[in-house]
Amino acid sequence: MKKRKTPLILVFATLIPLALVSCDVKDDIKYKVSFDVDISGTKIDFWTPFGAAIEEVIEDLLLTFEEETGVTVMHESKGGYDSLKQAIDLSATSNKFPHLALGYPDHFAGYVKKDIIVRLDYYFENGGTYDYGEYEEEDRAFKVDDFYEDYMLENQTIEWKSDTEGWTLGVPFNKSTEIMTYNETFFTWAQAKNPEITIPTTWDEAGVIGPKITTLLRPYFGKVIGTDDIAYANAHAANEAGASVVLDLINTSEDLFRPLSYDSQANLFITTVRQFGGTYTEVDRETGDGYLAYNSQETINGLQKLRDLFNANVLGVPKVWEESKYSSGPFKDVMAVMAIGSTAGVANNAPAGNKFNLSAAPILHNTPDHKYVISQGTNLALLDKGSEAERVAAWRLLQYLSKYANAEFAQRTGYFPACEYAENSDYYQDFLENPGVSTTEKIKMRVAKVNSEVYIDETQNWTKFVDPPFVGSAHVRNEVGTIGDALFFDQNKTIQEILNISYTTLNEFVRP
Amino acid sequence: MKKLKKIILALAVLVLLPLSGCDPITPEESCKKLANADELIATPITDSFKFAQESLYQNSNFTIPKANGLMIGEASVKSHTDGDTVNFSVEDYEETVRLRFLGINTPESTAKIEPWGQKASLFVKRILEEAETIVLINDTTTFGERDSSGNRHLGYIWYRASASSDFRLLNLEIVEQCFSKNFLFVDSDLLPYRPLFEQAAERGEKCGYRVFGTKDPDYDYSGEVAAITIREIRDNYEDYGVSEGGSSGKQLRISGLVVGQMGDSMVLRDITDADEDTGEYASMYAYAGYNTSLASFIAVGDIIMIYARATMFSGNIQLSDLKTNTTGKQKIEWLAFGTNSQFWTEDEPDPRLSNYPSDISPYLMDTSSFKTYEDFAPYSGYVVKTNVTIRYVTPFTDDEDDDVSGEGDEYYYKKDSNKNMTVYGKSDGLTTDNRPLYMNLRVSGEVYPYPDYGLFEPGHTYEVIGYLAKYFDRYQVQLFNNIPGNDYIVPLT
Repeated sequence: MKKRKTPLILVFATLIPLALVSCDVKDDIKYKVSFDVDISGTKIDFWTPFGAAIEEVIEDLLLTFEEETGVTVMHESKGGYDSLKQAIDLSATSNKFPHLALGYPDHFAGYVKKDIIVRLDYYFENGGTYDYGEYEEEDRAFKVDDFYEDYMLENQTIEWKSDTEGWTLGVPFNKSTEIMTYNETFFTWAQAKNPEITIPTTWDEAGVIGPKITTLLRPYFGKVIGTDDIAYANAHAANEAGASVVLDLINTSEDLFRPLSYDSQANLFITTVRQFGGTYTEVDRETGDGYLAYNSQETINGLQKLRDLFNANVLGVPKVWEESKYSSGPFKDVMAVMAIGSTAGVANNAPAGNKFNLSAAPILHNTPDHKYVISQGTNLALLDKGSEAERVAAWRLLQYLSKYANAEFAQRTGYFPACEYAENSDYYQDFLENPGVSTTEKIKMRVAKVNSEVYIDETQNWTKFVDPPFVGSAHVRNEVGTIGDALFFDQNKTIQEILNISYTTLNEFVRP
Repeated sequence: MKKLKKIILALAVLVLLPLSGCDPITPEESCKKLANADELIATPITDSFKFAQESLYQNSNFTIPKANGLMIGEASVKSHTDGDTVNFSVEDYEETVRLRFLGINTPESTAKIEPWGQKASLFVKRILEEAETIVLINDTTTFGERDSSGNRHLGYIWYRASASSDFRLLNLEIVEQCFSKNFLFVDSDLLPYRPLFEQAAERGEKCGYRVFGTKDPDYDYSGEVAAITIREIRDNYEDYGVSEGGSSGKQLRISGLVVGQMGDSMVLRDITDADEDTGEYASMYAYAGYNTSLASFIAVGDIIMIYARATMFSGNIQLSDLKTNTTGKQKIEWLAFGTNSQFWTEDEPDPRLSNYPSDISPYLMDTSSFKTYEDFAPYSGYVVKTNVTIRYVTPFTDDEDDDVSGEGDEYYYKKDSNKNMTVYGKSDGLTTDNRPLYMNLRVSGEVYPYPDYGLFEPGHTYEVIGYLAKYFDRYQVQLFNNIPGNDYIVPLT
């Protein structure tokens, strides 16, 4: 079993954000149920945000649950995270919300305000055994400690029962983070030409290696690289000369080429603040209000590093290629050879037609003592609805999905296991060893290994972080996602000016 | 005169009032049993809802937001994707407007097939094909201009069947017809449609129509898999749930020889069940969808077994909903590795190949005797070797009816924003009045290595190898990956 580590967010959570503690006017008595109730024949509603491919996996898993428990699950996708939250918000007054739903911590904070979310502490303490299916006896206990602390804590820092302890409002289900995928075909070819061209691990290394990559490719932009290292006008010309194509750069030019791309501008900003020692936001322990905290020298240092890399044509963002959110298209056209983005989207970087091979590495960091990578993905929450049998049935489904079916969900979707039971299961370990042979299957395995062997291995000193939610935190995140526009595309402004403008725009979140 | 107008307006309001009430349908009236899955349901909510911005569209362009964030303008259909996404042309906008409909989410019907998906897609297609005017509209301050991928515009579609008829809100109609549940969860000041969408979904929820709770009679829920040949699908496609009428196809297991690849999609050819008269094996295009990386591990010459469904797309039967994993229950399996396979490293070919017809040669299609487009039909769905002469067309338009003279590359090929390319050509055939029988070359944007258009010269004739498929009333040859390496295009003149 892997050791569980104590992430910084635990310290952070203890010191700062005792959010919503003053709102506590109830205890968890109202959520008490008898877990002996017969749930067979019960019908419950379950809402999710996913697209068709992942919903198909969910449907398969639900079939097994229904067979094991006799419960009927009315499952419905709301087609996206925002629309799922909107649908629940809308249904809060009419009691049409589901028994069980997925959501982010800031969604749950909203459900607390609406008084429609169930505290799970009583359920864990009294209903923590899962007696269905064919699982080993020692695995039937269902405990808070089963789950990775990084993931669990974001569900326990939303509503507070005391100054130091939060209610448990959710259980992790689909977890992802950011990863750097790279063009393995290119790096294999490049390293044979110049051994100094390795996969960078830090921003500084990227600043050194990036220009070497561009220099190496300079003769080939707008052409194809033949197996004889000659630049050919196109594949046809290479073939006529008796060569085949190593890499096709026909769609790129030196002007368009950036060795490294970073998809999410919000994640780039928030992660950079942490990696350079700054603080992004803070939450007031008395009021639960959130405040900006990123106008600092540490942030300026981090943003200056990014601006320098951008100006050196090493770092690209989607806007460089007139893309709105993602750089997977330019990456597939070899306008970049490294791309940092969500692990949930790595398959989007797989090119059609066997154009090149993919691999994966951790995202870049600043210094070894500041290895931060953002944690993403949603959690399962029980909503305050239904008969006793329906509530217990929903709890059983929560247990099943987050623990017993989690390995299969993770393997089939590319999300990470939420708990050690799933991570260490034969099913998941077999996937890591025998992932299949397609590019898509192999890159999912490589991403999973980066997670298992780097991000959650405490000897590697990485921290997966989530910032504590507050009312408006999603809005703040959206706004800081626009800082890159000024940082990279409005060079007349100093970084301090950019941060000042950001604070002005978000003035309602500036601490008085 | 003004007084008269007011009276007419008041009368109109009185007449329309009963139709626009909040609950125009009682459960008893609304829950009548539908005669069949295709029966259209009454749509009083859509019928009575008026297009408030009708006066704005003629002087506006959908791709240019107004100061208040409103995007509105006329459009015409370029191609259909499925029930909630359609590609439109907008005047003075070079790129295709790929529009994701707001407020709805119809079941899948392309790379993946879900119950009611094909029928939803067909419903939208039929309406838009018959529409006289189509207007797209969006409130960007509420919904944003594009979806989360950044690749698709967002919007509502108002349409009218004739110049004299009222505009109808298609998104709303789709919900009221129960081809989608309501996915409109936010209010918009400019386009306050949400209450109507909720109202439209209520009857579906009450009655369980279509996606709200009725099984799609043409979708195979059994989970049973039919192990059949491509010829069997072609000859008896209706038995396998394939029709123009929105059927979703049964689960199939196909064993076949890979005879060509376009990006990750491919053409499979039977390895049994040859035609008794000609000895030819049937073949079929298998659509891989996005991000499946099939070509990273399947090679031309491999003999594989794969799970799929057969569907009808643009008049062609094709395989969709491919199961593309190499692990798990419905995984791809190799019956024999071809000589191009990365998994076969021996000097001698895989001995299992001798158990199957593994020759990937195309069928010769000599068009010199062809007189009509019907003469191409017997070759449709096959990999063919044939001659094509590159011709000029009218540049920058879709008008390809006449050979024209001109200069420059743009006169003989066109690309869309996804790099899908059409190279305009003609066969060796002539009609009885000596007009050419056109036959274009189609290159998917995902073909790799991508065939530079400079491979072709107008007026010159090439021997090409590709997959012949029907395209509206004519036929086109779809080109494969690795064109240079396989002599798929050989200049003859």
